[in-house]
Amino acid sequence: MKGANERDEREDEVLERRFDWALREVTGRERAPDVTAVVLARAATGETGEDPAARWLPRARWLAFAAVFLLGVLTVLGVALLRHAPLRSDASVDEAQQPSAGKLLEVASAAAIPSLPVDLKTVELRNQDDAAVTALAARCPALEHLRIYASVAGRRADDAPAVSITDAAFPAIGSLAKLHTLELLAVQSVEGARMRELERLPLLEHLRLSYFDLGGDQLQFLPRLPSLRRLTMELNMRLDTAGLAAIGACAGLRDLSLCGSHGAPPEAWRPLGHLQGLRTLDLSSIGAVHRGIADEATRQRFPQSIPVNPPENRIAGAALQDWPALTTLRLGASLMAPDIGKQLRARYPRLRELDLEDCVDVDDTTIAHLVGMPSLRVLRIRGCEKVGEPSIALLAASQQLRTIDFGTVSWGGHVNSPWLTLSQVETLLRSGKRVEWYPPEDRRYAFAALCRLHRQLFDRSEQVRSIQEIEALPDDVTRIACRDLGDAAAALLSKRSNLVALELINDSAADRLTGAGLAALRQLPKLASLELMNLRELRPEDLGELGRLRSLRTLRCVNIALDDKALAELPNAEQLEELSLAAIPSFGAAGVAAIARCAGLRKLELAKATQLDAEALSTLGALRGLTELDLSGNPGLRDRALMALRHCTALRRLNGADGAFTSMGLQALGEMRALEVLDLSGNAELVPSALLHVPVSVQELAIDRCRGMDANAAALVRDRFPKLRELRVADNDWVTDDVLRVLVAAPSLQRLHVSRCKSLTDASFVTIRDARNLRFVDVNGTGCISKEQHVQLMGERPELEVVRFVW
Amino acid sequence: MTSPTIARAAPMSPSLPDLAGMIRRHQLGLWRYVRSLGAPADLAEDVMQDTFLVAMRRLHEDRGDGATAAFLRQTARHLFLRRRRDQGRREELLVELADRWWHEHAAGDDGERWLAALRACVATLDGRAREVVQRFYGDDLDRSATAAAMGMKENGVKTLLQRVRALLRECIERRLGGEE
Repeated sequence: MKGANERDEREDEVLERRFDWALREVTGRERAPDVTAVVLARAATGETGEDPAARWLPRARWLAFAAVFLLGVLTVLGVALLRHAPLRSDASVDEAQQPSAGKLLEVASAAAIPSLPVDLKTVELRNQDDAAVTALAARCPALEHLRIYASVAGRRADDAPAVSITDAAFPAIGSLAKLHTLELLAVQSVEGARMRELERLPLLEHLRLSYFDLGGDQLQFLPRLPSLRRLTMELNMRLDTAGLAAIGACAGLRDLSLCGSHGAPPEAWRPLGHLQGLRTLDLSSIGAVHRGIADEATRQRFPQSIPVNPPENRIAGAALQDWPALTTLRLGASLMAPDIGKQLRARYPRLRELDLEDCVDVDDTTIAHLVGMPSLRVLRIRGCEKVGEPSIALLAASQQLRTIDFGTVSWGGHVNSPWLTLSQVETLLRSGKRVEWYPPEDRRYAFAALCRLHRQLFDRSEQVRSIQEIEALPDDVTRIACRDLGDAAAALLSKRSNLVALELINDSAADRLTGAGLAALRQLPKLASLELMNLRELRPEDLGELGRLRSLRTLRCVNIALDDKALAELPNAEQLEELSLAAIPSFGAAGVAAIARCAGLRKLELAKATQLDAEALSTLGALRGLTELDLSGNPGLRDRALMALRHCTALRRLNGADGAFTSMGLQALGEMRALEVLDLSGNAELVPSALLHVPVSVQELAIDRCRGMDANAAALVRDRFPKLRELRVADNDWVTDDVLRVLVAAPSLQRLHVSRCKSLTDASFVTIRDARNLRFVDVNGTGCISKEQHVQLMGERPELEVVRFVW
Repeated sequence: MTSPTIARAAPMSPSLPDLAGMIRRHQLGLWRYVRSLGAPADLAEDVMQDTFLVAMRRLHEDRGDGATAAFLRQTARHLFLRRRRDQGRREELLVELADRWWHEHAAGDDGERWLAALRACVATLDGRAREVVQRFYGDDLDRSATAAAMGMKENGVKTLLQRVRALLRECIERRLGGEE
């Protein structure tokens, strides 16, 4: 059995590899490179093609190194921290271990440096020495983002043995005047004597000094970095009181992470109170972890025995300062007392995300305070063993909370929140919370099923009504709904490069949306969905920008001044698949023709476009890839327009309600064999024989208010559509008790709407009661089920939902 | 040490113009083959270059395109496995399986027929299946970015991709008459 599984797994992987190539080629993503010139050039220099093997021999030496390294490791907790870090939304040490995932160009050989483009902006030097840094700085003076990484932990399979730069590399780094991000990771041979060279970097915004050790003496340069906004210093085993004082003097800091560092007593944290602009602070695992040391030389700088982390170095409530702008606070594995909830609520009015993982004293009273924080959206409470059933009710009742994290660690035998039951999870899901949890094995499958059931809740947008609210949104928010905001908001939003969906509904006198705002949105590379509604200042010429939003897949416009000229640009949005235009009377036939040129459209909604005549609508027949089309409320939907759709054979949903076509026009549906949902309501022209043109594949059919139909339609419905699950025949006087008896005999019918069918009498009660397939019936406005009979039905047919009266 | 020269290589190898012709004739098929073994694009290009360099040194006579293609594949496979040898026996098995498949289904026409069937099958996809193919493979988004773009969880994307691949495989089998 095990062998068969392994074989299946292997075959799956081979298949995955094959498709990885083939689908990239088929979708045009990739094509075979022409290597002729480069091979000839290499041949001309005498290369034989077998040299690479030699490059891989040093790996054997690495094994020896690794053995030494393992001996020197004090504990694996540091590595564990690295592995845990990717769960966080901001940059993490783990990111350094997978640089290829980012956009940095990786340079793992000094020989490659002379051939790098001189205008290169981003690079990762991997396991390189001082000479390589000097060469890089000379070759690429325009560098903006530099990462220097020594693979002392979490090394990749293809890594050479770890090499670290030393202090001698810093003059070269300091010469990179355009640098705005510098990451020095695990470069444990750096002792910090020449860190002052970094003061020459006027644009440096983000400095990351992780997995190596600098004390207060070496960190005194920090306040002299004029542009520093973000400081990340994870797993610094020498962070001390003087170091914290230096950090506290960096007045411009917005984002600070000291995760896993050595720590200091509570009074040493007081200087950090000067950081009044701080938005994100990570104090997880301070004074609680150790990490390995790479080599003997580095190890000499540390005591021979395991360094002691004094308990007073752990973060406690007393270490926290007033940070009025703080939106994210991570306090994992700290010594927080139960009353910390009260303190956080009072001190951090803008806090959106709070991490209390492994804070073992946090309990239900803490949660009771936290749910009262109006700004809180994300709460992480893995490993909070004293949190229990009372908190579930509190969390579920909280209106503002979106996400509760009970632990998602999936490695190393971790068990996340084992006390959590599926019933409690469902309570939270039902209340609209996203539950993040990698459950114990016995609950894993059911948890996944529950999440699937409630998935739609997870896609909710963050709604904002002010610039300040946008600024406070964490970087990982991908869906934003703006209300009463315009250009100023668009300018801010344009910097959120991971934005996927955006709603701009109503602007205001204080902030109008204009063409400038729309143009700014062009900078969003992933923007796939855009909704514009009630935007008064947008002129038709501004809306031409819509065609330049190249990543757009879904566009919904309601009540804006879209005209033919603006729509003419729309076919340029080549990714567009879904388009909805509602309450827009300002476009005409030319606009529809432009829409018809959007060849990738799959879903189109042009409801109530009363200005369009049959001629204009008929051009939509060119959209043969459409799967959903809503032309309801269009008096122009006459036979000519409908017949033009006859080649749209991929249609699955068609809404022609309140159209003016006749039974003849329905011939257009003949070839639509994929049609599942059809709405023909409100059309007095249709007679029963019209149903003969409707494909038998239909599963949902609406013929409300079709006064031209008669009792003969019932038998057709019953006999022609074997898959029909839902039928709407509301507001039709021809639906009598006899007709209803025929309709409920449709073999697959589960949902039936007969509201306001005045001809129905209480004789139909028995018909409905005995229709065993039915699961839903709407008899509102009819006399067929009395209140008493309704009660009786609830007893006899508990699975049948009856709507008999609507307020 | 002196560098090897063209003159040194020339007597036992195709001339550079011949080499250029050989590369042009075989690089498409070789690229597809190496990619189908599981080499990422950058590694595939390296392997392909090295393969042609080896061929230049070792192919002493023109044995026809079929034999040359077989030699190139064998060399490329060998070079690829050398790069991956730290990944052990399992990698060898995977490459063996992929190689066998290529030999049976794609070697004759550089995979054109199979790709044509795949193209036709991709065209029949719709909804999320089509979207995930476009975003993940066409737009080269990683799984998390694909998940974000589609409003799904990362695991959901993984599952969806698995299903789509299985669907496509079945579809190709049908189109190729069960040859797959």
